Amino acid sequence: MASAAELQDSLESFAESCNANERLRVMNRDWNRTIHVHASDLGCDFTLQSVSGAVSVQSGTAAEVSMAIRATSDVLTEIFYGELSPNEPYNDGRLRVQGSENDILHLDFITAMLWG
Amino acid sequence: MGIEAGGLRRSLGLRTVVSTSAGLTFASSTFLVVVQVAYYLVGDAAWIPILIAGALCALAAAAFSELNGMYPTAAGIRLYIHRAFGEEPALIIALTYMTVVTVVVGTEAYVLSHVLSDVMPAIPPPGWIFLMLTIASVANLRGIKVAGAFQDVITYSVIASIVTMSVLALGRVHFQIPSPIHTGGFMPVFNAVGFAIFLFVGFEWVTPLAEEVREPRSIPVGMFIALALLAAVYSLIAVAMFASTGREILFGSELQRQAIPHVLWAARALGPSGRLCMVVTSLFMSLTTFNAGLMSVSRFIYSMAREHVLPKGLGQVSVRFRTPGAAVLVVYLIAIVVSFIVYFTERYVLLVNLAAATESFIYAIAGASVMALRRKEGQTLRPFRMAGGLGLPGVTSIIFLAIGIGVFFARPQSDYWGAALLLLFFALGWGSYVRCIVRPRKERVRAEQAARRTTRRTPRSATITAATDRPASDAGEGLLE
Repeated sequence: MASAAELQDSLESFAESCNANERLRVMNRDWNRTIHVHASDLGCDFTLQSVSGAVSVQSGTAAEVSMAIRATSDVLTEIFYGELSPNEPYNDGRLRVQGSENDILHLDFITAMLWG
Repeated sequence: MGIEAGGLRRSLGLRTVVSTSAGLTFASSTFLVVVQVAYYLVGDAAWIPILIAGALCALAAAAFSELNGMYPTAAGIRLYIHRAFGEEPALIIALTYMTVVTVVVGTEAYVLSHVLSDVMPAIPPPGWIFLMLTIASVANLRGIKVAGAFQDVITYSVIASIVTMSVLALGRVHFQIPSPIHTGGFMPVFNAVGFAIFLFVGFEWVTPLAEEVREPRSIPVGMFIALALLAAVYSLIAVAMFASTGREILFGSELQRQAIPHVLWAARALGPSGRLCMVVTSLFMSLTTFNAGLMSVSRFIYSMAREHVLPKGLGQVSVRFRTPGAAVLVVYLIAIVVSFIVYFTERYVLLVNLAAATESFIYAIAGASVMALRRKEGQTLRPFRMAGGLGLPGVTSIIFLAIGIGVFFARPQSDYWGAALLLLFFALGWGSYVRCIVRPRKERVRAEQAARRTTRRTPRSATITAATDRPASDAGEGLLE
């Protein structure tokens, strides 16, 4: 089990990578979404925000979100550090992503463009 | 737009769930099956096997509802089979199923090309095939999706059009149906039910919307309503077609089947306006098939590439359109090749039989998955539970297995047993691919992932518990059964 601090570190690392990638900033420029990240084993919550191509992380939850991501802290940390493709845990049920099909795909595109 | 606890916005209602479930089954090639079902019965009783097939599909819908309630994701059957039977069976079944879906898209292009060529003979069918698939693939590449309100309009227009034409055609023969309950015995009905399953192919593809609906119960309720609508609509047109037009005219012969019986029927029964109405209806029906088929298959290919199952290049993304560009291109090329093979060989009946049997097997697997998951994951929350303990899912599984096998033996012709050989070829091919290529590739990738985890954790974190400090060889434990 990863710690809340490590999960936050992975999310910040993910946001930094997104913001440093010019192609991603272009792709996300009109993809304004609030994403709730919940670690089921730790019971802690974070919020990822994509606004005008810039991605940021906050602790806690927002009042209204476009997507929700739930998994154990280990799975989430590995995904946001880019060590694990989200497709695998998504397809075997370890990762649950709630939201529109297009948004789920878009989020996966981001990880694909960051880490291949 | 609803907001659930946790703040997630949800926007789709029951009407759109029904229209999506019913709309995804609509295809011009379904009319080939309506005629096939009716022709193989002695009387005008095609409505009987169609209603039976619809009722059986309701059993499959109950199984999908339970599975979807447990795992409401876009991964769908790929995830259910994985949880029930492990990763490799899930991969082999999903890859085989998607191959068959691609083949169906090719068949649909063939049928639609003949419909359009009948209206505008200046462009021959191959020209239409190329044009239609190119337009559909460009729409797919640009991420244009038939959804929401547009799907509502298409589905309910198609239903209204078919019902109106059927009633008008029956009116022309004073609603005289010569022998509405004369089937010719059990075996013709049993075989006809197998073909009729094709009429409902894809109703369960609505399950990926589970995370977008306002009421979770909308998915199971919507599937049941859609099945009832489809059974009623197809029963009506089957009766109307054969009551108002000669059997051989619509069917053709065993050696030379009529490719566009619906257009022929509409022209004979309702004149030029009927013909035009049917062409437009057929175009609408194919639109949803192309859109859903091409999009599902291209997204599946992309997902498989990202999961290291298919070559990595197929996971490339179009930044401009935010779509899986490489996968879209590959699906386009495959659909073109399949369509031209169908055009030159004219073996579309074989492919329709292949699709009907495969879909029956998928429904059998859904029933088996319900049984397996009740044993393996009995404690997992089930918002919808299929009735009948383990018995009804088991019976569902056995019935659909029998129906699927029955399709292959319905006639001693290559269009029937050839479908079995083709399905076997696909399944064995993907089975070998998964065992010989995917398995070692995944083992290598997992070892690399474990190595990356180790190097990351040394400098970045001092707060990891001992549980995560497992050796690299343990990475991915339990994933590849």
